[in-house]
Amino acid sequence: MATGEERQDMLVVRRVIRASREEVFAAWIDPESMRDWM
Amino acid sequence: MVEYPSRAPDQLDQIFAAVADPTRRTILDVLARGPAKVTEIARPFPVSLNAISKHIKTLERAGLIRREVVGREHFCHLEPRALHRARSWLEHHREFWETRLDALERHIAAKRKRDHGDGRPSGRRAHTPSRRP
Repeated sequence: MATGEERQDMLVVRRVIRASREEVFAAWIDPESMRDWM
Repeated sequence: MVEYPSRAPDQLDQIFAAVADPTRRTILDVLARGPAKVTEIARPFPVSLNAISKHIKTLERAGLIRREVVGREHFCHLEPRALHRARSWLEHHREFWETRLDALERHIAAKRKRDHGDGRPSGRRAHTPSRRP
């Protein structure tokens, strides 16, 4: 779950999304989008 | 919006710290088969009895095991309730993020359909996972 470089008190959640990096990044940082999915 | 505590409760800190060590996890595996004396627990390990005693104390402090003194013998018992607390905490976070990330995937698919009229990923090639972690 966590690699050696990550902090030991950190919870890491990994998920592969069927979308391009650009689409995921845009949805992740856009406040309007976040209201929809978060 | 979800509010996160500034840090995990102390008992969870101790539980996760305790199970982070492979020797202590092996001790828990041994005790899952039934109660055992400290000397029996220590036997298969290539370390001193004192070192195993320290591991047992860590597991006791975390509430993962209970020690019972019968005469001169110390018997250790697994206390599954502490493990259930850890599992509940993990399950809560797994569910929370599974739900959000499912919604994120649906949001992206819907936006793509609105923007391009199809469900195909835009921009650079999307990941095509063989399995979901």
